[in-house]
Amino acid sequence: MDYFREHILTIVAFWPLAGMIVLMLFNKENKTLIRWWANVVMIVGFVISIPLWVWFDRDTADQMQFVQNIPWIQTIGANYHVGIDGISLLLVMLTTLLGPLAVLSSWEAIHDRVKEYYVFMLMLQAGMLGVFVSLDFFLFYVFWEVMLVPMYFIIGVWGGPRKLYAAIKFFLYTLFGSVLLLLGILALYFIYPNLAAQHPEVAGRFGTGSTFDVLAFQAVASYLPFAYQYWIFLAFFVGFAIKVPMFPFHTWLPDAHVEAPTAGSVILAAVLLKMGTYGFLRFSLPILPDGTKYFVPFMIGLSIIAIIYGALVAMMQPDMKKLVAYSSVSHMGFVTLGMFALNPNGLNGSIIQQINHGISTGALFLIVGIIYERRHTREIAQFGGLSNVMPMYAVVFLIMTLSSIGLPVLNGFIGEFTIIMGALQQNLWWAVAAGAGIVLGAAYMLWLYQRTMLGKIENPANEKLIDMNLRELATLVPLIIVAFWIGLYPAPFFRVLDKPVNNLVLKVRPDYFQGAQRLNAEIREPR
Amino acid sequence: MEGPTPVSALIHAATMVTAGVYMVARSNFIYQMAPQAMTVVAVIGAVTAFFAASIGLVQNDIKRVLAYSTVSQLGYMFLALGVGAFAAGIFHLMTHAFFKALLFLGSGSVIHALHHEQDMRKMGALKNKIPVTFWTMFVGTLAIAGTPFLAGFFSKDEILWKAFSSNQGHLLLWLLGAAVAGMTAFYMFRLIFMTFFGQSRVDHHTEHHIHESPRSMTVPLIILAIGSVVAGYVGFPAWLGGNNAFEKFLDPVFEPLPIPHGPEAEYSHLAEAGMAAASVAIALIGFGLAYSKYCKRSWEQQREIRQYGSLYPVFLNKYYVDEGYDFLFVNRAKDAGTGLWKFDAVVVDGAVNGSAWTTVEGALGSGWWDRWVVDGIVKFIGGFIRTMSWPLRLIQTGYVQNYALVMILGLLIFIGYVLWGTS
Repeated sequence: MDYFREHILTIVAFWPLAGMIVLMLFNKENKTLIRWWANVVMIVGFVISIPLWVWFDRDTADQMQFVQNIPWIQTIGANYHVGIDGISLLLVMLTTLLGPLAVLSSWEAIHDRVKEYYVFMLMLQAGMLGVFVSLDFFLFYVFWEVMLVPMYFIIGVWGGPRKLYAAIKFFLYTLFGSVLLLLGILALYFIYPNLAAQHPEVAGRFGTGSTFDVLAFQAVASYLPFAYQYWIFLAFFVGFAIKVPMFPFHTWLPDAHVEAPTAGSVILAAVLLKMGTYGFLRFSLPILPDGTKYFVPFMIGLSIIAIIYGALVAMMQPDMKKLVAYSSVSHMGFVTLGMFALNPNGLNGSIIQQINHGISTGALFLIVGIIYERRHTREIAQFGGLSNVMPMYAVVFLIMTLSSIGLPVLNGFIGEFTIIMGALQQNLWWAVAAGAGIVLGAAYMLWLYQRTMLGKIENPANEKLIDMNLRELATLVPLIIVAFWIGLYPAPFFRVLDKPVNNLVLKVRPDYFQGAQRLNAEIREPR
Repeated sequence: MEGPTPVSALIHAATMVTAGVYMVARSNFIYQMAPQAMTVVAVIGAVTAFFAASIGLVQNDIKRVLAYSTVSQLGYMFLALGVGAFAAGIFHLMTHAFFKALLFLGSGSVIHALHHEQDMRKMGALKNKIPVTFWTMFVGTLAIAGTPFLAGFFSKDEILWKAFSSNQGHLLLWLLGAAVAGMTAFYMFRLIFMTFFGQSRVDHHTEHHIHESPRSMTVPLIILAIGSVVAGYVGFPAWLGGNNAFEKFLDPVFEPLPIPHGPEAEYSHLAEAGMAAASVAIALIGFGLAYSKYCKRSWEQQREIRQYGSLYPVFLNKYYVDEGYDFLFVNRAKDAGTGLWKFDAVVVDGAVNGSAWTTVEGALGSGWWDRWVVDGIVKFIGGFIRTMSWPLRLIQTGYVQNYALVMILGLLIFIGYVLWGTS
């Protein structure tokens, strides 16, 4: 047990990879066995991640926990350094929850090259988990790139009619960003020894040798010259903004989503996009505080554009999946808006909203996938009145629609509300723009629901549709439970986030809490 | 209004639409600190009351008349809040709940009796066929029209009086409110006369099946009718010898803030009674007009259209507010969506695909360069040397016979030269 506890992150991250290697030994004709095996591996993967949530020490949530730091490629100073704080804990849990659901949803959707498909899904899962646990920039970059390969094949082999275009676009676009990201990492790598040599307190903790250690970079953040912060921020920005995706780097997303098979879209929306926002949180903000502050107006501007722009474009989409894809652009705008408000409310909301987006958009893609499997079309005009024949489906769809538009009692409300509070503390107009985005969000989602689910059945092809089966329900019920959990009692989530978020705010704005205390004192005792 | 009738009754009477009134009353401490904001509330309330009532004058759907009546009555409530009479606003909210729920459920009973017919143009002369529905709705109509000593009278009178007498009040606000009282009486009695009086316009097939609703529907009507009569007595006003119990009950909630508003003007009970009498008289005029136009003579579409002239389509189409919103906001948002979608596909994605295209074209170009220029020079040099060396190649064929031939030819030339050339 102790061994498990000490190595839990490695075990959780590499478990899917181990399952993948065993899977590769199976006979490819035995599809049932392959499906069972992949599902079991994923579910076990989720189960072994639960101790992370249980054992995680909330009182030191801003410290890295379950840390392992082993020399790896000593010549260049790269280590196998893993560990999680409250922020990465939530994203790891999101990944281990969504992975099994995505795999389960593929049971009947995938018929060709079943073995290869599950191999790639398991590889993808390992890559994503690796990204969220890495504390070494080199290790991080390896996982960040590795995860492109399975996704490329999942879109390119099992995708829709334009799959090759979408797959190559996804791959090249992300790779383009990654290369700039790598340049930023190298810049940090080469300047670190100089800075560490000048500042004994850093050298004492992390040494003066070349390193890729993220914590070491964070320690020298305040000594990093502004010119470096400026350019490295821009390099990181391109890398992460493409992944989020932020306007105007978002056009790969609708193509990738529309062409990818359902499970691919689910993973893409629920987890992959979070890697971009996680990158900002883990690297840009704490390592480049001055660069971050300098670019706040730029980042907020792009976020607000994304919110409004994504919502308006989503409203006019004739394809359900494309609508949900553009709604992702809008929702991720909320996430980045909260993040770059750079105060505790904004950041808390931003992270909670990342989880929420994973839950509700992941569920919406599953929902679209269910109807696509039955009708082989996603065109909104083809549907209407489905609630008459698929009542259970209609209920689940409604819950997730309401969750997506941020209705109280469901998760989206908590995230959007906290983000708007954070935005309001910085600037009234940011909050006004976000509010407009919420109204538009309600418009396009409810309109979608109305056009597909309500009214009478006009299209005879829809008359014989069968409601969800047990397996499909099983993919959605966990998401509904989490949606209500966050909506009704988000305290456990905020408890995990409070400390790391305050720590993050302190790193970017060292005087923030002094200012806040002064302000509070003034409110209590007016002059 | 499009919802099932019991839902309409619930929404209109007590819960959803009145939440705004509750909200403003609850936030009275904020509003009291912003007199301008209160004036805005009062004016919007009075204007809403007036416009909604004018829409109600010509609607033909029985539920739609009631829906606009609700909007109009909500205007009254906001007028009360705006002039600082928070208790009066809440009082009207309470009394209105009784008679509006009654009227909606009554209309539901009518619709039920007529097999889902909501159009008053296809009703008439139902008075004796569904008597319980008729009498209860009649009571509700009397109450909403402000008949003295029924529920609506007390609360409406309180609002109108405060609209005039309070510090934030104004004679114009009172006039608008009083006009609305007349219009309310008019459109409500129009509803009663068109539905229950005159000649029957029900189609023959339905005519045979008209029946009073079951007890599960009539008993609530009766209970609400009793409420519509007595609910106002909790706020029996001082000028009639009462003690304004309702207002006193709410006093702790609506305690005025310690902000100078100036002394309230003093008016005698007589003035209040006079104003009440005036509003009742105006309501009576409304009733009289409705009686002469819809009861003495049965309803006729043409006459009704003529009577409003060019205003008729404006009222009927609700001042084209929906169309205006569609034009200003809905369609503009859709246009923006479509436009941005095109922008996304052409400009943003165009830039992405453009860079990909540029890369591919660049690659093709450099391929061409490589093939024709770089490789061309190499090949040219090779070819040049090859061409130039052609004559040399001829003597290096590698065939022994050629060499032998050349040797023999050379020998012959040499011999010939020796034999003849030197002579």
